[in-house]
Amino acid sequence: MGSGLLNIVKKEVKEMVRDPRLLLGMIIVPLVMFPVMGLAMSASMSTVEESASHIEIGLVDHDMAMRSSEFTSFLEAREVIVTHYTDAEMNDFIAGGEYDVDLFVEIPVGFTAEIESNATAYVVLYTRMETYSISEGIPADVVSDHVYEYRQQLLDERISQTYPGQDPVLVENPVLVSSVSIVDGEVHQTRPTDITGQLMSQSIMMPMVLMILLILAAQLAAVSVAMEKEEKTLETLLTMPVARSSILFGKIAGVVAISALAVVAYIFGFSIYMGGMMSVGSPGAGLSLSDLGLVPSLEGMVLLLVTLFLSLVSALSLAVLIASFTEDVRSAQSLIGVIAVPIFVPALILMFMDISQMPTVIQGVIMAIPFSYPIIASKALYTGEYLYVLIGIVYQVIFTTITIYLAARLFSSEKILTARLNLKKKGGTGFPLIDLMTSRKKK
Amino acid sequence: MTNAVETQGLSKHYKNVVALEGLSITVNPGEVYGLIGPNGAGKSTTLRIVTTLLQPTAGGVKVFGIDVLDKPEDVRKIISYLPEEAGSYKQLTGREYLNFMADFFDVDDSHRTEMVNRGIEIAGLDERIDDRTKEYSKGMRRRLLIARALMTLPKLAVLDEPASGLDVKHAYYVRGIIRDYVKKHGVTVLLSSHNMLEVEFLCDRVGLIDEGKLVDVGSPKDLTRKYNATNLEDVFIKVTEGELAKGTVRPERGTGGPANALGMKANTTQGSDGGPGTGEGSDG
Repeated sequence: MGSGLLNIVKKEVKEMVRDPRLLLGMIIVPLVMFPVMGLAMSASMSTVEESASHIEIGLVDHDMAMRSSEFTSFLEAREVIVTHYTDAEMNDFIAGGEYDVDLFVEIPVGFTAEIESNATAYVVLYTRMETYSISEGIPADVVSDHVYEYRQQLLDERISQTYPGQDPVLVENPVLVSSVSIVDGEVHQTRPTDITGQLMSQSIMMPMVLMILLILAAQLAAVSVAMEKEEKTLETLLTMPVARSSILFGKIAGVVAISALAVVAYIFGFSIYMGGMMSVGSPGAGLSLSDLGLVPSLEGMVLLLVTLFLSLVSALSLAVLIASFTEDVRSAQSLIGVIAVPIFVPALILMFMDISQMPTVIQGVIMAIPFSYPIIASKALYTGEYLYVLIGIVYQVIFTTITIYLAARLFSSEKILTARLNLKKKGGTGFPLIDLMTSRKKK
Repeated sequence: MTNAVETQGLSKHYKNVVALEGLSITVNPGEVYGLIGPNGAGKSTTLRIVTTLLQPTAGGVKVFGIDVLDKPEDVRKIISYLPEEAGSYKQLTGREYLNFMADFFDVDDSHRTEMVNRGIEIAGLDERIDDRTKEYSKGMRRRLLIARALMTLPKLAVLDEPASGLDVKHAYYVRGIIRDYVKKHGVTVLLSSHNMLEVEFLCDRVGLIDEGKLVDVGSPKDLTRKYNATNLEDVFIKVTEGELAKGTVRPERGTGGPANALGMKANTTQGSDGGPGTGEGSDG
């Protein structure tokens, strides 16, 4: 019945591709959403950088002495455009008056005197909050940074006076830290968190995105079965001269085909998004993992693909199985939410901890969930620790075989038509699989 | 000669419901056999067992000598089934739907094209055959489904309420197709209907079932004579008197003859189609 299988696959793909809701969620959204998010991120970040490089301040100098004019020149040397205003004008600004400046800077009376007497002098920055956007706070931060630099200059001056002939930098830093990360026996002058940050963004984010896709694919498979029931096409299909297993595999293969298309869309969209993110800087940005010798191995890539494929097939067959107990698309979709939890939880936990560091119970739970392995495999890409991945693949094969077997049994029996999920039903456990098995036993 | 359909002591029990109890019927090749009975009598259950969808609790069924329980795949090759409530794939056009269904049959390309062309002719939807079926009215969709069921020239066509819920025009068309086309190609038909006048018009023989059992069988003419009735509707009422007493069948009588019935959307017995649990769907 090979042609029957192909016939079902063609029909499934045709239906899915023609369904605008589906096309939107799986292909258009990732192709458009991720790049737009990436572009928006880099655009907003460059706007922020732009606003940080062109700062205009209104200066009210009450001190009018040596240090205040020194500080003003210090700011001007750092490309801050300074316009002098009176006290009354500053009060007008506070009251809402329009001035073509980012903020007002007030140098109080006695600024120079305080500095000269080794006491603390203050500079007051007035920012009027109007849009509450991040960029509104940037100018004050930039000026604060300049104040900090000026403070450092004054400090160096004091140290030079107290310890003539000595390097102020050495005097200021009696102790410092130098962090070294050892990668495969090689020493690198890099903080370990920079490496993990980089690894996280490159090797964990992608599987996370694929996990989202896995849930979408599971939804798709569930909808495909539930739709046959809701639209009353299943009964007819089941009386056609085609093996029941071909109907099941045809549906799964159709979703796998569409998912493959969606994977390409997601990877393309996501790489643009990451490109946008990377250009504005993230922990460890500019750090090249390949320079550190952290190159994903070929066997690691193959294992990752295998675990991803097995996860997809097991999620789809589980989704089909669950959807077979529902009467309509809406109930199928909400039941699939149940699968989403075990897909996401291990992924999140594994992002922050290695499986070998976890307590045995948690380790057992995570390893019992077949959807954990793509994340474990994506870490193993760099560590080369394939033991858990290999165990996982064997487990995934067993899990998938059992799920497919159960789904095939369901499709070849009348249960595909008569099984109903009724959580309130008397005598039902509320768990469809258990109910199915016990009802089979009674027979 | 091998019987087209032969059921032997067919029973189907659900948890708390007995849908069929020892039903034995025989359908001869080339005849149109109608199953009639009140809601929940077991008509749809019988059809679903014959079409390999349900498994009987006891008893057996043969379709043209093939055991439905032992060789369901072989049975599916020679039958076609039109469920009472059936849909089409909304994103496919009428033509694509027929092509999809034709592709399941192991025939060469020219036969497949012939099959689909036959379906298009039966459906009679003209250029609308290339519209997606989500744009079809209920009547158009039913015509497409009837076409799908008959285009393969099955040895046995099982039709559950073929014209149910259709307006005068579409119901007339569907009945005409069943009568003319099926007779012309010698297709055996097993159908169920609530519309007694439709049954009288279409069927060579009728099996009256009630509470999962066969009450009587015969040609519409023989049955009306036997029960001293004016038409099959009267026969139905007399046979289901027990049901009447329980109040599950409304004791109204239709006045129209067969000619009238062709155009009627529903006859009096259909008035008993009630809420959840009483409809045909509940017996399956």
